[in-house]
Amino acid sequence: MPADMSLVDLLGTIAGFILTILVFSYLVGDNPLFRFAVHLFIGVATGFAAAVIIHNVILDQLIFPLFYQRQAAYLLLTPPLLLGAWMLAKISPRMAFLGNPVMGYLVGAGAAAAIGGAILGTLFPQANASTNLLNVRLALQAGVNPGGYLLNGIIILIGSVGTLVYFHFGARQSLGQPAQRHPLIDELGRIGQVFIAVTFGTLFAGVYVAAFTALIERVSFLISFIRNFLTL
Amino acid sequence: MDETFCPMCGKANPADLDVCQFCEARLKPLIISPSQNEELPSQPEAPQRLPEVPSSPPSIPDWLRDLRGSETIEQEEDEQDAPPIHTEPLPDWFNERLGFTPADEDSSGDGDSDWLDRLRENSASYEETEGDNSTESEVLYDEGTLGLEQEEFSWLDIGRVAGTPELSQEPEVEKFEAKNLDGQSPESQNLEFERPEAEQFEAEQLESPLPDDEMQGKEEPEEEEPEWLRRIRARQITEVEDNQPAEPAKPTAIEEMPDWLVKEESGGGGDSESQMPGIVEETLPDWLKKLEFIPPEKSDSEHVPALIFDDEDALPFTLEQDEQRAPELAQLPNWVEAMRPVELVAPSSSLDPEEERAAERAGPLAGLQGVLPAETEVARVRKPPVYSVRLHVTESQQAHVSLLEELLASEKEANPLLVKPVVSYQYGLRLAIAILLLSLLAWTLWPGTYQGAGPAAQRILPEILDANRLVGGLPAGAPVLLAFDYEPGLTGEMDGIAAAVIGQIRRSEAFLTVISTNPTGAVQAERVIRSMRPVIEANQYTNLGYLAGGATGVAGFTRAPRKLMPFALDGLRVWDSASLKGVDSLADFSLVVVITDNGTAGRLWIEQIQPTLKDANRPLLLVTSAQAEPLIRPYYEGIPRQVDGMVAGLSGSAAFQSLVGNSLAVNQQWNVLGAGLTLVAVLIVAGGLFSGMSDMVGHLRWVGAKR
Repeated sequence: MPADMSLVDLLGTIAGFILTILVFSYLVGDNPLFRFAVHLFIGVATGFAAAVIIHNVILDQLIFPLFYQRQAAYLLLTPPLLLGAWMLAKISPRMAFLGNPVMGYLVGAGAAAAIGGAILGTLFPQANASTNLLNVRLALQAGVNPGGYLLNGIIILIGSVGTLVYFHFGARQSLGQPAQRHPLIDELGRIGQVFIAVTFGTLFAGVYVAAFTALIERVSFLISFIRNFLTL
Repeated sequence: MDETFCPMCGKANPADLDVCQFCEARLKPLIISPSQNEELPSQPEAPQRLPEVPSSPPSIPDWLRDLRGSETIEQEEDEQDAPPIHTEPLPDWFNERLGFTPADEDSSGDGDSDWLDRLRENSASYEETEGDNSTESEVLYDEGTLGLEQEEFSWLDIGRVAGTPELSQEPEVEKFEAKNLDGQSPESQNLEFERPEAEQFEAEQLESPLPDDEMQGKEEPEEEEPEWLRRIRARQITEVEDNQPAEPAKPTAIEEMPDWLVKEESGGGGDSESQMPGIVEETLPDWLKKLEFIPPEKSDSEHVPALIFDDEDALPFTLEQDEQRAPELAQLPNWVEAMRPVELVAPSSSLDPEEERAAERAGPLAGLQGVLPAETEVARVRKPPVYSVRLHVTESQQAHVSLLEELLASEKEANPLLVKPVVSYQYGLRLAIAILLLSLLAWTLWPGTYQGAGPAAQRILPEILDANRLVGGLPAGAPVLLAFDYEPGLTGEMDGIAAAVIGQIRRSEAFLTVISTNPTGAVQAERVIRSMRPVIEANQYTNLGYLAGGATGVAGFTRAPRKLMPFALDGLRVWDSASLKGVDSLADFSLVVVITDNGTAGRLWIEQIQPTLKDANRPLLLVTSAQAEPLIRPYYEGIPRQVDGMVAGLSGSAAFQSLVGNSLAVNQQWNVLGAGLTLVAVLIVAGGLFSGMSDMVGHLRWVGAKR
């Protein structure tokens, strides 16, 4: 055990070791030990979040400025204070309707920010980037191999179109035949289906790698703890 | 107490009443004083036996007397040749046709009326077998029989036994005239009573002369009506309602026969049982003479006289043979019988058979049978028909019912549950894989057991190079914003990656400003910074804490960070410090580093701050987990780029550290990761092959079983 390790760190290490063993007990199946560890984590995380919110948001961003920045804060913080108090009406079922305007304002503001960011931050730039996939001049300016860049652009273009076509479910119905899509659309959809499958596989691989990395860290922790205690 | 039924209204009245108490009609007719006719027999109140026939009443005309005398001689002569006389009662059809009922037996001592006596004997024997069906009409016809001796119609001579061929050739029928018992017409008498209209009408009907076509031949002296006829009329009027029996009276063969028929003689002598009465033997053809009258008990049909020839060869068949030839009842198939529910449920015909109809009890048609009812059929009170409620179920339906019952009974039975094995092969497989993997990790992580080569330096990706460039080009004391947005679960991966980038930024002596949209992010950042070696001093970084509001908060922080986050996590005002004095917006930061483990958080930061940073030409660096790299890479590889550099996963961290010259700490993790990923890849491939082979074997078995 390291000499500079304090008691708190020691207790924390021991607690971490025990909790890690409790979580690993899930290998034999669901059991009370695992559930205890999960419930403990949820409780601690919720309590810590509550503490951070109260201390870091309500006090520091609402209460303290009103006391320390009185004149400038009144105009700026009074409306949020009133709206926050108004939203407390949601606690009572009979008076919950009073908090509906505040909820509406919050939802509206959040939707506006999300939609604006999605349009300006993802949709337009990504669409612009898609149009430049076959721009060889940009490749030359970037110092990239034009052939490879062009092939890469074609693949990306086919994959993007095929993925979008795959989610197209419009179909025509002819006499005596069931409704079905156009053959060209159907084929592009099949190509897009391949790209979707590859994407899901890549995502799964990334998740697995991340989780495996976390496992490596935990196993290393356990080995370190054991070694440290063995050396005691 | 005896009751008398009124002839007019038909209601019951006491027998001692003379007038009906309801309609005031005469219940007992007025009888002419017997002084003029001393020879009138007493009128019996109840059906009686036939009175003795006087041998020679004084009122018998001479011609009748002569005939009787000749009858006696002829009877003796033709006794042997006479056809057998039927002594049995006539069949019902015969009686019904003529409206007669068999009369009581009355032996007659008069030799002239042997045939009559025989008829009476037959009727008496018929009554013994059929029951006492005598009615009041017997009395009437008793008188009628008496009267017949006195006077007879011309065609009755035909019925007599072989006596008067001249009479049989030209039968003459006397004209029937209504006269009283004294032989006087009702009009010539002073009646002592007034008859009701109905009764008078009846009397007039009886007294009215019959049509000429019915009566032909012999004329009767108008001034004298036979006694017997008068008695008959009187009896018909007065005694038709007396003592009506419960059962309809069946007409006897003698009493209901008309007088001319009763007096018929079938030729006297001989076998009376086999001889039809009233048929003159001589006038009959030979084949007809051979007819034998079969008594009712010998014949099954009441409607058809059972005539059997003596000689069976005369006719091609006999009744008995005909009965044998009777067609057998057809045996219908079951489905035909099932189709005729009408016969099962339909009520019996309300129309009574003709022989069961009661005699008319009231009105002018009293005593007659087969007349049209005065009341409508609907008005008659009768027992309602009984409908069958039995359900006719066929065998097929019964089979279906039993099958349905079995199905319903099986529904109640619980299906046996498959016992789930406590230890399945999947449980064992999971344990085996876990033990294998943990063993490999433990072996590779144990110090001194495994030494890997580490990541190859030549395989550093462009995004790593850009990240290194961005971090290495920071001026000293430049404000750098660090956004810690990863969950505590991936601390093992993200702590190493973040520490590598933060360590390189610290070397540039930049001022770190930590913020997080995750409540636990600020604490994690604090732990990471404090665990770094050399230690980062407190004046080299500031932790603003938790940024609430999600995208809205990030957008607000981008425009007005001072107003949105005025205090640090420790409560100090950091915006007034020298490091953050010139920072009024996000664009004032020299570098923004977003450390996240999921693509959503990374996309949120990119979408909200990238436009502002682009305008200010400020770089954006993403440090992500391996699982978020596929979602963030398009922002880096797109032209124009939205992310200027990216360090993703353990491989990116290892490459970055190797680029900056700090590869020792990453090598161990890299080696273990490589070994573990190799083992996982082998297990995935082996599992896929095993699954494919098992499917193929199952398919081959199915094909083989199908063949």
